[in-house]
Amino acid sequence: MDAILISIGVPLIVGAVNFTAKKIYESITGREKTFFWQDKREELTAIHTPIGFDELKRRTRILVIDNEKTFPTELFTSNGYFIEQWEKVKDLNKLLRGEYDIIVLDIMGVAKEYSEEDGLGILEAIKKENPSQIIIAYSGGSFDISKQRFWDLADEKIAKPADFLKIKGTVDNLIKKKFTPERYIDSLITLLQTQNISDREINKIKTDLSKLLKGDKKKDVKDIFKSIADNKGMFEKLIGLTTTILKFFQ
Amino acid sequence: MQPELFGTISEFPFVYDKGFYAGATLEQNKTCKNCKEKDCLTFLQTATNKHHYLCSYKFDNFLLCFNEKKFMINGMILENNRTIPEGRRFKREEYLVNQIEIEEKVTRYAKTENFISQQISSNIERNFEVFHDIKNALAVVQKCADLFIDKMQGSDFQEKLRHTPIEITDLYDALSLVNSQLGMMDVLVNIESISQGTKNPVNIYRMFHRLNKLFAYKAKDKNITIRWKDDGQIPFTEAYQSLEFIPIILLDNAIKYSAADSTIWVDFHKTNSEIVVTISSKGKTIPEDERERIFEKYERGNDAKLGGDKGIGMGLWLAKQILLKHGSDIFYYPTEGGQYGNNNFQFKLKI
Repeated sequence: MDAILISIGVPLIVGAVNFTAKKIYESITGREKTFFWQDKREELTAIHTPIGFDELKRRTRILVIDNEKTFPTELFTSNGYFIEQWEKVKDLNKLLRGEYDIIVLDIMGVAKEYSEEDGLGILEAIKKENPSQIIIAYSGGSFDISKQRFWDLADEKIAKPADFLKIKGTVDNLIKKKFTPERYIDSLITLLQTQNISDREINKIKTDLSKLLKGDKKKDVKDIFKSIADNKGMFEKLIGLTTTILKFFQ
Repeated sequence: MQPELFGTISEFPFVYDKGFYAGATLEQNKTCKNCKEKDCLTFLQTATNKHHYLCSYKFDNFLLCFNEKKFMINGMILENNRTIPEGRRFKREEYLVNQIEIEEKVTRYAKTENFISQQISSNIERNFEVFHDIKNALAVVQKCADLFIDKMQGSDFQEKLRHTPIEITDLYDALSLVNSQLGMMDVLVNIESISQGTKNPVNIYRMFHRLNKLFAYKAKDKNITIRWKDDGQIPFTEAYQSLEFIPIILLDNAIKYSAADSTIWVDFHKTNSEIVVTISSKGKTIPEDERERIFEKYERGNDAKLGGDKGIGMGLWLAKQILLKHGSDIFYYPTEGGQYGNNNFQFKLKI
């Protein structure tokens, strides 16, 4: 009887204390904190990625869209990067779906067929559809005040002309700073929240994802979102983001 | 906007910097011309957000700010100004103005100035379009140079660069300098491009030192030597790409205004929280009343103008703008006194 009381009472007391402490902490700092168990997001981001920078740069899919072919793509390839080059936007869906981790985008002569605003229109479309997409603005026109949005929206800038070491430095810094599992985990959670998924469901997804990151072979990416993705586009987005997250751990 | 241009737009007389200017229809008030206090000039120096100032002769003065330049319409009498003696009011009745009229005109001046600025920007932009092609052509040359160096021996690009013959690396560095100078033009046209992109770790010592050889060529004509002083390892600091223009501007400036057969010292030292960089050169020092203005757009010291040195007075202004975006600033101070001495330009970067 005592054991039953303890097993029911202790969690209730701990829960009540946690609730009170959480409310007090929130009213003082304005931030949320759980005191007696780890937050699922923290639990996820605490999983250490086993791969170093050299491996990470091989796994980062870089796409260069530049009609002038001035980007030193060959040098990136010979330095162990995964890099592809398009002279103009060949497949907008691939860009919107987030098939590339970093897109190096020129502003002129790359997407007239898709947008009157050329590269700027593409950049806006990608950022609207997939805000976590990393984009480097690569152009010789940073003097153009009317194209200021192009530079503001991009995550990084490379002004033409630039030497290989400078470009490589910029790309490397971007990989280190922004191509991180934490960033994609946050994007995934934000995406779920914007779809009005309940906290309970989100926590369940986080737990499943955590198991997957720790190498649980029984878990499958598609199964995690099966119950909540009622439209194909959303399902693909969630799978895309999760695949990117997994890239840091497999 | 230059005062000469403002004088064609404004009907009223005004003060700018330390000078009194006539308006398009009204000359300077005679009382102002003979005024000893010259409060309006003091107001102009210290003015912040207030728009209206009353001088010791009880004339009304109105502050106008166009971009970074301050003008003050001076020597006017507002209709409701009851502090000015009646005799003076009667004698200077052509300077009577009502509040609404002055507000409307100030708004119109601001609109005109804005229109002129936009026109200038759009003209510059149109003229700069040609640079887009030059940049693309240069980007191709740069790529060829990169591919050439990649054929050298070495495990990575930096090692290959070290194995490249010195004449080729000099050429490679010169190409980088041209790239930077082209980038500097972008910033001159679109000041917002200073902070485009994100801040990344950079080493200011290396940024300067990289230019050593190239500027040594330039300095040779005047038999100037560039020397370096540093107190050990200069750490990295987070900065926008535009910081690379600072060494170009300051070294170029130092060479341009140095006396022949002299030495330019580039000094780096580290405090607990900052890197302090000082560029000292020997030459004619800048008179006290010109020191603030040398950091303004299109401004050059009188000696620079009279000496016929090439330049449009943008370098130091640009250096200041770049450093301001990095939470820093640039200062000038002469040492060793007199008309000739050491010209020192100093800035600090947070570690």
